[in-house]
Formats: sequence, structure tokens, C-alpha cells
Amino acid sequence: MKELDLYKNLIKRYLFYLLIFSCVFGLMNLIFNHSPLFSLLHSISYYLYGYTVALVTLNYYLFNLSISSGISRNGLYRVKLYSLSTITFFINIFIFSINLFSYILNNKQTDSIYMNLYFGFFNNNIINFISMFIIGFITIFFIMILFNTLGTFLSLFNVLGKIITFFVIYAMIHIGLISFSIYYFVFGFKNINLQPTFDLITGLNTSTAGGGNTGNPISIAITLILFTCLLLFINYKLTKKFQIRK
Amino acid sequence: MDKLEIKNLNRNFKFGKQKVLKNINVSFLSNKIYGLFGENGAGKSTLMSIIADYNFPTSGEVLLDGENVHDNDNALSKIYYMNQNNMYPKNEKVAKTFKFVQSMYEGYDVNLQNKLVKEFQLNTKSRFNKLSTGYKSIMKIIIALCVPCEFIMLDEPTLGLDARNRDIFYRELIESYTDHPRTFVISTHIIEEIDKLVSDVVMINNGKIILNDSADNIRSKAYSINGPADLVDEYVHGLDIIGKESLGQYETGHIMGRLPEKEIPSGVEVNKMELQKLIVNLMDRSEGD
Repeated sequence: MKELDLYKNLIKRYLFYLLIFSCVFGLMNLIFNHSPLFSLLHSISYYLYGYTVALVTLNYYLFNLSISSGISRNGLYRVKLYSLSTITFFINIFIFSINLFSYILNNKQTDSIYMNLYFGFFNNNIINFISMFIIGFITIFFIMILFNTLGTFLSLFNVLGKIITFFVIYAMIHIGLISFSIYYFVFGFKNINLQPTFDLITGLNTSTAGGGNTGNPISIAITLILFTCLLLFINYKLTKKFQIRK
Repeated sequence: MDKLEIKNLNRNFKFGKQKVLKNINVSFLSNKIYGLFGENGAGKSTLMSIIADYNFPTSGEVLLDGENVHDNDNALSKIYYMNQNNMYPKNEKVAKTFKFVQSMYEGYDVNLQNKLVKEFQLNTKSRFNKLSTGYKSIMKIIIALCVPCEFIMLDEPTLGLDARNRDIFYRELIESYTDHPRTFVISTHIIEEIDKLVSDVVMINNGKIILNDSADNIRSKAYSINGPADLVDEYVHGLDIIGKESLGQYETGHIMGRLPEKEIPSGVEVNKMELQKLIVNLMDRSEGD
């Protein structure tokens, strides 16, 4: 019961913050930039997405609330999953609705990544939209879990530990990208061809000529689900760890 | 009958170099008020945080009615730990935090909360981080007294409280305990103010339990003997002397245990020792060991 109460409390908070953020950001854009409606809605959706990601990274706050209410770490993990799923659902509904209205009312002009890469894989438009909604949910949930896991990991350290860990992660990503680029552009992938692997995990068939929007959304869905499962496991293990007193 | 048992508990910090708790074995029985005493850094807060599963033991276990409390929702819902850190949103108004805790605990005593808010004159419209240290403690005290938990641990509850508010706290604690008996474990340095409240005393020094007995039992066997130094020395010879104080030719010897059968020399006075004095002497003796 406590888990449900904490979940309700958390969702109310998140939605309240998100509503305030959207209103303030939307109004500011409208007043200062005089943005057209669809452009405004698109920018709100992106910033809302970013703001939510930042919000779900704050793990220690949730840990404090749960442990002081006598909720175990297993319970905390369940609360995190329920709330992340719910937030994902609301964000996805918002983004999906904007894309749908954009598609219908704005002559199919939309900057949705799905629309540009995967829309049209199925012959029926309704199925395409259903697929877009599902893939949207899976993608947003993956990003939420990714950042929540990062936040959970960082909450195990004190301020100095957090800064060091953050820079180590940042450096590792950049070193990885630089190494990959050097290998790719300088040595030219003579021995290893990563293209089929890339095609398999993204569902995009870049080797064939075409408009580029015939990617298979099922492949990317499977890839994201597998990564999400891995992150869920890591998140569970990190949630069970001792949280350092701040 | 609920019983909180701590078995063979050890807690090390700094990769095992610093041993904060060393083989702790203690039980907290239901419907009692325990005083948990010890110097700063003795391990009291660490012990409490392990009981409430905030912190993990290096080895050993905490059992509530035979069940390990670690990751146990049922057991943890019976334990409330009021600690020195702020666990609630610091930018939130006190009233909102009360509402949150109320939503989390079925059976939370709202009437008592309202009564305490009036008595302590707590402004519930203030945000937590705008409150003074004393009022922060008051907010936490109110929550701790109103939650329907069977084991309530209060870590330095009177931190920053003035004499008037400390008095209200002690009075309300007794009243609340009389209305709904449950176990309180109170850790404080102001021993003289709660020595009449506690039914049992647990004392930690250097991570070890050096005293664990009922307050009455302790009081019945702790004496201060004062008088001329030579007479006091002769009288306490062979007894368990836990401390000595000298002032010129006069001396006070603090002993634990039964008084000798022999007659008290004239000029020598025997008094029951105050709990605070006993604790200080035990700490000093422990330091000397």
C-alpha cells in the first residue's frame, strides 16, 4: 500500500512540475520568439523530454522518501519502475499526439525520427501509427531507465565521487567515439565490416538505395528491449546498494 | 510480543580499517523506553541506521520477531527512525510534508499532530529549509510521535531545542507512550533530562556495548561514596570502582555493585549515583582501558 501511495505522490509531483515547465517554456517561446504552433509544440516536447530525463535522474531524493516511510529497496525499485512507466506513457502520448496532428494538419510535415526512418514499413497507416506509438514508448522508457540508472549509480557517491565518476563516464564515451572514428576513417574497416551488425540492431538498411524510411521498426524495438532489460538488471542491483549519506 | 534482536553485528568503514560497531548483541523488547548512550562517534547513529535498514552491517543481522529486517517491507513498516539528517523535501512546506507522511502511514495520528503543532507553536506554512535547527527537530519529533510504528528510534531528538520545547517533548513522549505503549529508543547526550523516562539503558563505547540493563537495576547498584580520602579508600577497597574525584583531602569514589557488609565509617556518605554520572564514569573508565 505504501508503495502505491508513494507512487501516486511521486506521479503528482512529476506531472505538476512538467505542467509548470511546459506552460512557462511554452509561454516564453510564444511571447519572445513568436513561434508557429507546430514548431512551438515540437520544441516543448523536446525540452519536456530533457527536463523529465533530468528529473528521473534524481534518485537520492526518492530513496530518502521511501526509506523514511519504511519502504524496502525492493519496494523502491518497484516504485521507480511504475513511476518511470507512467511518466514515459504521458510523455509518449504528448509527443505522439503532436506528431499525429502535425502529420494530419501540417501536410505530413513532422520532424519525428520515427516518421523519417521507419514510417511506412507496414502497408496500413493505422498499423504504422500503432507501431510508432509502441516504439516511442520503448525508446522513451529506455532513455528514462538509462538516466535513472546513471542517477542511481551517481547517488552511491559523495560530491567528489560524483564529479570524478561523471568525468570518467564522459571521457570514456569520448575516447570510445574517437577510437572508433580513427579506426573507421584512418584504417578504413579493412578487416571488420560492422555494417550488417548496424543494420541488424537498428533495422535500417543503409546499404540499399532508397528514400531511407523503410527501416524495420521491429529490429530496433528488439534491440531497445534487450538493452532496457540489461539496464533494469543493473538498476536493480544499484538500488539495493548502500546509499552514502549526503 | 515484538522483539528487535541485534545479533553479532559488525560495521566497518574505510575498507575495514575503521571498526565502528564490534560484535553488537542486544535486544529491544516491546513497550519499553530505551536510552541509547555513548560518546560522539561511539556508533549509536550507525546502529540505529542499520536497524532501520538505512545502512548495512558488515556482518551480523537485525531480526524483528525472528525475521531479518533487511529488505523486509513488513518489518520495516514497524520501525521508524528519526535521524539527524533531513529525509523530506527541504523546499516543501511543513504542512505538505505532514500530509505526505499521513498518506504513507495508515493510522497516523492527525489529532496528536495538530495538538503538537499548537503546543510547539510550529508554523506549518513555513518551508522546511527556512526553519531553525530546533524547529526542524520539532517537525521530525511530531512525525515520530504520530506514526503508528511499534519501534521508534529517536536520534538526538532534542537537537537545537530550547528548555521549554524540550520539556514539552518529554511530557508529550510520556503521554503518547501511556496512550499507545510502544518501544522508543532514544539517543541523546542530555542524559540527566531523560533518566527518569527510560526504563532500560544501553551504552555503547568504541563500538562495543558496555552496559545493557534496566535503569532501576543500574540505579540500585551504582553508588557515590564521599568523605575523607583515607576512609573512602578503605571502605571501597575491593569494590568495582568506576571513577574517583578528589577535592583536597576529600574524595568521591563511584562504585558499581553491592555495598560491603561492613559499617559505613563516620564522616563517609553513601548516595545513589545519578545516571548521567554513571555514564560519564563508565565512558572515562572505558577510555582508560
